[in-house]
Amino acid sequence: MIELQELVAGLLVITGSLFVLAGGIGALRMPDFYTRIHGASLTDSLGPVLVLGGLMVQAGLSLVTVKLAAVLLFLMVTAPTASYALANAALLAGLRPEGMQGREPASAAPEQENGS
Amino acid sequence: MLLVAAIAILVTMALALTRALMGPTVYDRVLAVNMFGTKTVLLIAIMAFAMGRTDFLDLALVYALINFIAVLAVLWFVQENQLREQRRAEADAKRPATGSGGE
Amino acid sequence: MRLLRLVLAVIALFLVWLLWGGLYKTPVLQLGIASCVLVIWLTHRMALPDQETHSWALSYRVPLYWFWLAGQMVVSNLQVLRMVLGPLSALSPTIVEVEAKASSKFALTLLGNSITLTPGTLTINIADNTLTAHCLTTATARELGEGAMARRVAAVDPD
Repeated sequence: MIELQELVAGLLVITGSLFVLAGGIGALRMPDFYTRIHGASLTDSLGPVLVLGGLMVQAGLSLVTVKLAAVLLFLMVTAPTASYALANAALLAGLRPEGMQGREPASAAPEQENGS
Repeated sequence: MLLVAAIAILVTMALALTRALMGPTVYDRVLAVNMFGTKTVLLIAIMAFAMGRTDFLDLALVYALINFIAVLAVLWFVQENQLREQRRAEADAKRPATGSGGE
Repeated sequence: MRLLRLVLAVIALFLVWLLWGGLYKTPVLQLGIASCVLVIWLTHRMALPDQETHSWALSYRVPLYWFWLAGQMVVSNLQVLRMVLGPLSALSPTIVEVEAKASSKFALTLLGNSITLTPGTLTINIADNTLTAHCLTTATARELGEGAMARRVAAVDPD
């Protein structure tokens, strides 16, 4: 029983960390700023859920689980808010995503050179 | 098992740092720093279990709070700075405001 | 009435403090109460007195929505995972506009955050009732444009 618990917890944590790793790769190799946010948001959604969920399984039912749940809830609320604040700030500053009207070549050109 | 996950997250943090150093715009850097912060929270949580000291979880929570506030503060600072630059450029009025890409 | 609510908030906060603390001596408890009162005072001073009333129906509908959102998250995570590790030519970034069906601040926040939380779609602007979203591919953009998520959110908080 204990071993099954450990096994499930380990699997969840490792799957989550793989998602996080993939998100890191995405943030590094995506071509422009807005697509990079998508890569980073991969590390903000299922990654923490699986990692912290796995740790919850390992902790069993205790105060530690409550704390982990608090961390998870907080991350789930703040991560998209921070992403939105970032994307909106970039948009207002004139960094136009591909496919949006009024594209500004001055801000679009350097990203495509450096990103790939 | 936990150690493998910790290593994967450390690698991700290294990737985030690479993106922070590469830029090219301020927003890319802020994105990378934000990512670094959330990964630190996960790393602290995992290390708390790996070292058997679950009271570290309080640190993870505090780090998550500080990270969120810090990102918003940096964004506010960048925006404020940009507005100031813009106003100065308009005050000059000799040449049109250029380079609004956030460099 | 407002005072009662503030006192209740302080008590709730102090209960959380007790849960976290673990060191129960009189001076520490006094500091704890003082910090709770300080926090409530600061937030009360900072926030506008909230115009939106809390409805208890939300308390059970929001968790139900979370389950649906978790399912969506798994699906879109796998899609984006394939996108990230596959060739970059598969990307087709698109802008799509989503009409929010409910216009309370809570519903707008929930919709915007849900869009951002599912990878592959990202809220970049909110103007009145229209959310501008950046999508990683045209397929996800089409799916989002159909407005299933907006309908779900409107069902959670019909306003």
